[in-house]
Amino acid sequence: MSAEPASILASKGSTQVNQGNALPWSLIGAALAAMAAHYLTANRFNGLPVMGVLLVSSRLTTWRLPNHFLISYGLRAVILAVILTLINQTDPQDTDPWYLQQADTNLAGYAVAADIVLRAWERRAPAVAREGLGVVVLMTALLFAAACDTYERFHIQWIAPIYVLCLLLAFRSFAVMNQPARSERGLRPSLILLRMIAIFFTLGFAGASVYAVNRYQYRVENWAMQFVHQRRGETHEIGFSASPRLSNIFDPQPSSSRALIIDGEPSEPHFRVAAFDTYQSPEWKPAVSDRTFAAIAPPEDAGSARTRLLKVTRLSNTDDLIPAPLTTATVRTEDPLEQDGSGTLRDNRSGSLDPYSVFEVTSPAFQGLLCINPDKRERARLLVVPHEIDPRVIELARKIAGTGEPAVRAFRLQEYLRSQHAYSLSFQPHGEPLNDFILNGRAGHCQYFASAMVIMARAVGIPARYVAGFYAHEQYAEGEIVVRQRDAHAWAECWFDRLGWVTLDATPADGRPDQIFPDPPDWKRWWEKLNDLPAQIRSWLANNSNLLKELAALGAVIALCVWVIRKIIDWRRRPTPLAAPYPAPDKQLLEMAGRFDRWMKQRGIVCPPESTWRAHLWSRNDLPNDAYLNFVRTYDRARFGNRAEDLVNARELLERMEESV
Amino acid sequence: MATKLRFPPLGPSKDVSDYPLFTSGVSRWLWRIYAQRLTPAGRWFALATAIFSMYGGISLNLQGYVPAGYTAIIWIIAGGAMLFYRPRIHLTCRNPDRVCAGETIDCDIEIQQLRRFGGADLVVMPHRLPRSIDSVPEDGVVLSDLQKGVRARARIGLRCLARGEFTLKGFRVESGFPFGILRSWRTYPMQRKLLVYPKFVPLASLSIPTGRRYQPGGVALVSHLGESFEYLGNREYREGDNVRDIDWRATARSDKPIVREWVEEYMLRAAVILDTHIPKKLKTRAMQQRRDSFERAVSVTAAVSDFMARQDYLVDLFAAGPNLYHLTAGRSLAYLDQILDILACVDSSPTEPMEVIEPQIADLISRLSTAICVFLDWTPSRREFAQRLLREGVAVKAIICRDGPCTIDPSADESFFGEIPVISAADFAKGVSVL
Repeated sequence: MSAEPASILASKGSTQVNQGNALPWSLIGAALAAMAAHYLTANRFNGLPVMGVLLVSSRLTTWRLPNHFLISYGLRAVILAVILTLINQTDPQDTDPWYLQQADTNLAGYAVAADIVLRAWERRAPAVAREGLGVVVLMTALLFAAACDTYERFHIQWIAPIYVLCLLLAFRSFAVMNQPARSERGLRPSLILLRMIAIFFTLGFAGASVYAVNRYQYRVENWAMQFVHQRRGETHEIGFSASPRLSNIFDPQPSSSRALIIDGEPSEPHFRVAAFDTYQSPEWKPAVSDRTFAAIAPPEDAGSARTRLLKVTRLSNTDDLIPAPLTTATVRTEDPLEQDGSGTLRDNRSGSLDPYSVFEVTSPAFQGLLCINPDKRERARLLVVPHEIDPRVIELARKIAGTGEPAVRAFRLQEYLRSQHAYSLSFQPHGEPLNDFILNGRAGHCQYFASAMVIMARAVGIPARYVAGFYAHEQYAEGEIVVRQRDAHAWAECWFDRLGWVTLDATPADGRPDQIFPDPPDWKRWWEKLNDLPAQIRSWLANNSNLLKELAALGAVIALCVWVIRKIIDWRRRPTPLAAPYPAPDKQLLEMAGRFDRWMKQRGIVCPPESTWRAHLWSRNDLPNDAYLNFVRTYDRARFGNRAEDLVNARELLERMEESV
Repeated sequence: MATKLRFPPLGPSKDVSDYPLFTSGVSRWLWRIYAQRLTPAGRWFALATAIFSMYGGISLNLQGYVPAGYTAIIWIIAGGAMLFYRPRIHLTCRNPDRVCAGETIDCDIEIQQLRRFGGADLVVMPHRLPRSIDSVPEDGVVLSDLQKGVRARARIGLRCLARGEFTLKGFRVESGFPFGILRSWRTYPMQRKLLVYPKFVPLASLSIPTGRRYQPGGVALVSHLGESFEYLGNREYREGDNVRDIDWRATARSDKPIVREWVEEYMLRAAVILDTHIPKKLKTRAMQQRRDSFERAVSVTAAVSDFMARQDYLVDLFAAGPNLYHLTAGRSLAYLDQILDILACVDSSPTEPMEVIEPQIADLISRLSTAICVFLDWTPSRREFAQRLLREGVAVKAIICRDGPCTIDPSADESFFGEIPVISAADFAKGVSVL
C-alpha cells in the first residue's frame, strides 16, 4: 500500500508548550500517590493533605510565583520552619538504630512534598521545562522512598502500583516536550491499547514479583545473604536437635541441605555435637540452652605425628555448637570457645558460621579435648537408671552383659542391640518408649538404639551418656566429605576406667545414614557447588588480599608497559599525515580506478590496502611494469593535476590494456 | 579542524568516537547507553530506580523493596521491548553536498511505514554525526503516527560549525515504546560526503599588484560582452591574412590591401599561497592562538580567491602549505570551487612549507604575474620567499593573519611589498572587506 506523503514536519516548526507551565496531570497523580503513602506511614501529618490540595490547584490556574531566587528559597526556608514547628520529631517507639530514624525520614518526606508543591507553582523557562519535570520525578521518588520506611505492608503494596502507573504515564510528557507539533490526529486507538496492555502487563508482573518476594522473604534473604557475607547459608527442616526427644518418626529424607563440609578424611565418622546424661522419658536432658559453659583455651599443641587436620566449614548453625569427633586433640577457631562438663564445645559468638580446624588423632583410644574425666558426682549421674525404666530392662542388660571386663560387657550389649533389633524410621510406642523398644524387641531408629545402649550400660554399672551428632560419610570431592542434615545420628559414649570415653554405636549397619539414604544426584551436587561459588570467591579474596594487591599492582605495571609499547609502535608506524587531503576523485576517475582494480585482480595482482598501486607495481619484478606504470602515472596526473587530457589519456591507456587481453 | 568542543553533548545524534575521552570501546558503549539508549525521562527514572534500589536493598522488612521491584520489572520489560520492538520503515533522503561553515543545510527525508504496529513515538535523526555538525532539532524530528504503507516527509537541519570534509553516516529511526525510557532504533546507513567550506566574507576590494610579465599563452578575455581583441594598428596585407581583417577604407585610400592588426589581451595569471605552518613545539595556549590564526587565514584565502574569481584573474596555482595544486579549469569556471574544496580540507603543517613549495614554484614562476601570499607570520624565510618571487618579476601581495607581533616587523619591508596588512582576531571579528 502506498499513499501520498502525509505531512511535512518542518524542523523549525512550532513547539508544544505546556499549558500554563503546569505539571502534567500524570505527574501530579504520582506526587499525590507518594504523598498519600507518606501520610499513612508518617503519623497522618495534616500538612500533607493541604499540600495535595495546593498541588492539584496549581493545575487549575495559570498564575505562577515569580521566578526569583529570594522568593524561591525564602519560601522553602519558611515552609521548612513551619513543618519543624508543627511536627513532633521524637518518636519514643522508634528504637531500632539499624535503619534511618523514623522521625528523620518523616521530616525529609514533608520537606520533599513541600518542594514538589513549590515547583508546581513556580514559573519555568521552556528551555528547562524537561529538567524541571525530571527533578519533580526524582522528588516523588524520594517522597515515596521516605514513605516506604515502614514495616506496614498493606498501604504501600496498594499505592505503589498507582504511583508507578502515574509515573509511566508522565514519561509521555518528556517525549512530546520541545518537539515539533505532532499530528493532530494523535495516536491510533490500537497503539494506545498496545501501550496500555504493556503498562498493565508490567504492573501485573511487577505486582506478582513483589508478592513472591513477600511470600518467600526468608528464602530470598537467605539466598542473598551468601553474596553479602562470607558464610554459606543453608536452610533445613530437620537434623540435629539440641534437646533430643524420642520421637515416633525420624524422617530426615527431605532435608538434604548441608550442615558441614569437612576438608580432610576423618578416621572417625561420628561427629559429636552434644552429649546428654539425664533421661526423663521421653527426652534427654539437659537441653543445650540450660547448660553452663565455661571459656576454655584449647591446647596449642596439635598432638603427635598421628594427628590429622580437618578443616570444617559450617553451612548451618547447630545452636553454636562445634561438631567434632571424640578423638579430637584440639580445635582452632577465630572465636573464643566454651565447653561444658560433658565435653560439648560451643562457639562464643552467637550465630557464627566461621570455619574451624580440628586436629584429630587417628588412634580410637585417644582421649583429647572432648573427653573430660568424670568426677564422682558426674560419674554417679552417668550411672543413674531413671525410675521410668522397667526393672526387667536392668535384668535383661545384666543377663546379656554377663561378667568380665566392662568394655567386653559393653560390647556384648552393643552386639545384642544390633543383632536383636531391626532398624525402622518410625516407631509407635506402647507405654514408655524405651521399655517398649528393649523388652519387646521392637524396631526403631538411632535415637532408640543409642538410648537403649546408654540405659543398659548404666544398668550393668558402666557410666554412659547419650550423644547427638552427625555421621560423616558422604564423599563430596577429592579429600572432602559433606555432612547433610539428614546425616544427623545418635549413639552412646561409655566410660571405662582404663580406656576413658569410647564411642559405642548400637544402631545396626543398615540403619546408619550411609545406608538408608542414597547419595544425592550429580545435578544437586553441581547446583550446591554453584551456590557455593560466590562465597568461595569472597573467601578466596579475603584470604589472598595481599596476593591480590600484588597481582593488581603487577597487572597495572604490565598494562602500563603494554600501553606504552603499543603507543611507541603506533607512533613509529603512524602514516605520514597528508598536510592537505585531496578532495574526493570524481565519478569518472572512480570508475576507472575500479576497472583497473578488477583488471589487476583478474591477473592475480592484488594491491594491499596499505600500499599504493605505484609502490606495489614497482615491487613486482615479474610484471611488465612499464605498461602498468604508464597508466598509473597518467591516472595520478589526472587525479591530482586536474588536467582534462590526462583523464582522456588514462582512459585510452586503460582501454588499450583491456583490449590487449 | 580546530574546535573548542572537548566533551560530547548529550544529544542522541552525536558520535563520540573522535573524542579523546572515548577512545576505548567500553567508554563509548557506556556513553552511548547513557546518551542514546536512555531517553531524558529514562535518565531521571534511572536515578529514581537507584534511590529505590539502595533503600530497598537494606532489608526486606522495610517496604523499600516494593517500588524497587516495580522499577526493576519496568526496566526489564522496557529492555525486552527495546530488543524486539524496533522500527521498520523505508527512508530516503536528499541534501546538498557542499555548504559554508556556520550555515545549516536541510535534509529532506521521506519515510514510509512498513510495520503494522510500528508507528508509535517514532523519531528520526541523523546517526552519529561528527562533532562539528549539529542536528537541528537536537533530539531529531518526531513523526506523526504512521499507519502501514503511509509516507511522511520530515526536514532535519544539519548545522555545520567548522569547515572540513565529513562523512554523514545516515539516519536512525527511534522509538521509545512503550514507556519512553529506553530507545530502540534501526539505522539506515546512507554514507555521503559533506564538504564544509570555510566561512568567509566577500571582499569589496583587493589591491592586487601587477607584475612586469607579458602574458603569453594565457586565456583570452572572451567571456564578457564588450571585451575583445585590442587593436594594434594597420599594415599591408600578407598572404595568409584573414580577409575579414581587411580595412576597406584604408585599402581604398592607399590602393593596396591593408589589414587591421590585433593583439589578444591575456588575463593575469596568479598564484594564491596559503601558509599552513604551525610548529609542533608550542604551548597549549600559543598553539590554540596559532590554530585560530590559521583558521582566519583559511577564511581570508577563501575571500581572496572569491574576489579573484569575480575579477579578471586566473588563479593558476594554489599552494596550501607544502602542497601545490595546478588549477587549470579556466577563467570564471570552476577554479573557485576547486580552491574551496581544498580549503575545506586543508590542515596545518608542522614542517616549514615554504622550503617545500619554493622549488616547485620556481619551475612555473615564468608563467605567473601575481602571487598573493597569506602568511601566519613574517619571518626571514617568508620574506626571502617573497623577495625571490619579486626578483623573478612576480608581483607579491602579502597578507598576514596573526595575533600579536610578528617575528619581523612587516612594516619595515614596505618598500618591497607595499603595505602588508596584518589581520588580528579583532580585525577579523569586525569583518575584513578591503585588503
